[in-house]
Amino acid sequence: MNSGTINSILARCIVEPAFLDQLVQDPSGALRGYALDPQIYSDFLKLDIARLRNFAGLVTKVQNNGLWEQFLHTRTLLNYYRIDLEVFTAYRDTHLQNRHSRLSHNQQIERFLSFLQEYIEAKYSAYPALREILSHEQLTWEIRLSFSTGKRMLSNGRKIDVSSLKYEQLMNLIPVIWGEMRVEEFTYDPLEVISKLSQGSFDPRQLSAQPRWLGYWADNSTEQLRILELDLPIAMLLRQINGRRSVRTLIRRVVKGAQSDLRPSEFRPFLEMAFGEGALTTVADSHAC
Amino acid sequence: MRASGFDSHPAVGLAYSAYVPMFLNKHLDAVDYIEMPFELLQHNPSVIEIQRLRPVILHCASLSMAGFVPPDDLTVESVKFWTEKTKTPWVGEHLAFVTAEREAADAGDNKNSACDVYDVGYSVNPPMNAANLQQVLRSVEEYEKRLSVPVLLENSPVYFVPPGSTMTQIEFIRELCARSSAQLLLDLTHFYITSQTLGFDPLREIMSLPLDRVVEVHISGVDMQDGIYWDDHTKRAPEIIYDMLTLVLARSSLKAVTLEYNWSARFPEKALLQEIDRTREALSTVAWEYV
Repeated sequence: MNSGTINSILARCIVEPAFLDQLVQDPSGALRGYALDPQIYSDFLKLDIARLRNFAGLVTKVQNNGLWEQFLHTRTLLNYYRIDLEVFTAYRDTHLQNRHSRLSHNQQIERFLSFLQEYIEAKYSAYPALREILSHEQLTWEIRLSFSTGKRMLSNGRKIDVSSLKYEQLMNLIPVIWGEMRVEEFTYDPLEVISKLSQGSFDPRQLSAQPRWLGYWADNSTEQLRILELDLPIAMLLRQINGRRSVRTLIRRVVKGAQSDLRPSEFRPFLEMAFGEGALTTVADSHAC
Repeated sequence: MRASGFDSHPAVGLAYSAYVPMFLNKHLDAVDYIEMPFELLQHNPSVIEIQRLRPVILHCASLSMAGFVPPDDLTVESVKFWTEKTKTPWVGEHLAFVTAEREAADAGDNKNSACDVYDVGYSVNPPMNAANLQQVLRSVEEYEKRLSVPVLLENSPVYFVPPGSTMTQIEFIRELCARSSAQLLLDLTHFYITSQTLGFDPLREIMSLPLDRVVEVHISGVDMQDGIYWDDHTKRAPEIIYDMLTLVLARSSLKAVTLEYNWSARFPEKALLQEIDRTREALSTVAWEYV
């Protein structure tokens, strides 16, 4: 009996998912070429492949412990729903490719996030709030990353007091978002879910589906991520900003799109806050359209 | 400083994780030492700074004690370097293999393995048989000689019985200790997982281990998925782990109990303090002068 050969086959099962599959579908083909005595060969045929596959998933899970740092609540929810082993078992092939590629750490994280988004999409209803928490933590990670990468083109925002402007003056301003801002719609409020998870009181049966809009803004003046709680019209307005449209045009588009009778004055408090905080500024030499 | 604090009453330590420096800044006296993975030191040597706050015990998962592909000299030299640098009283290493030879049966067309060795990057429980026993004995002898400190062998969790096994893990460890002066790092959670996989009573079977050889104990949590118990260093240990600890305490000359809550960059501080208290309470039940 050659114990080295047994180690070799076991290790291959863990580092080559395709070999493990072959061991299930065509065991004699998989083991052909290995000098195994009949007892060992028989042991391999009786091996609990599901356990071995899950063990490979555990190895992948542990080797991705670094994800806990930025994706704490996503990983907590994966475990809450008892699917983290299943997820990392499915991710194993990509993970192994990552280990042997020249991808940066952040590129590897991006790969995992893409994988997980796709993986949970089909089973969304089975895991309430998981998609929301993943999106929230991904946006948080991406915005924070933008502080350390070359995305800070507009590094020195200026805060503008628009409260003294007359109605017409405000309507003619052409706003531009100062720094990076992402606006996202959620079915469940991720901030509430995180609060419940942190307190250990998360219960998916108590979740109520209520559309929620959040803005993730990279405040370059403080290098802080700021999360803005938005209502639908404001979220739509922010999404329409392109550096060419005036406040008047933006509001008209929002009102038309929402088929509502919102009045421009109802946008004023947000605009004053956003200009005042430096999230919005103006493009002085742009033309209103 | 070597062995300081590990001579009398068992010390309580914490496995290193990103949250540990901040935890020590607030609760320096809560733990007596920090267990540091060799692999982390290799990747990020600056973590050794923690040694300014607390003594360090070195833990390792690179020597592939039960494997037939030894680590390269550079790795062993690096373990030696950190053994000396940390002044660790011993090195804990898994009773497992990490690497294995890629045999001719694998045509070498696998994009994930570009060399002649499979590197699992994780400890794998080996077949429990005479050949592996001999290999582990050779490894202990060699590495204790090269590192000049004891190498404690840590039981790996058994999730499946490896083909080629002719004895149980308990029998393997007993035989190992009968044939050598090997010392043990008993991971109570691993032992509990093994008991659930193989269907035995952990509180009864732990007594059949050579507990007098146990120098260090590991404690961490477990998780159950797909009907199987899994190692989980993000969860608190179940009560039975402390029942097992009490049994070990009464029958060993234990020197260190390490809480391994190190898989997440964060672990709730309150829970950690409670776990430390729980451990110290268990230790206080034994009259150490008579051990």
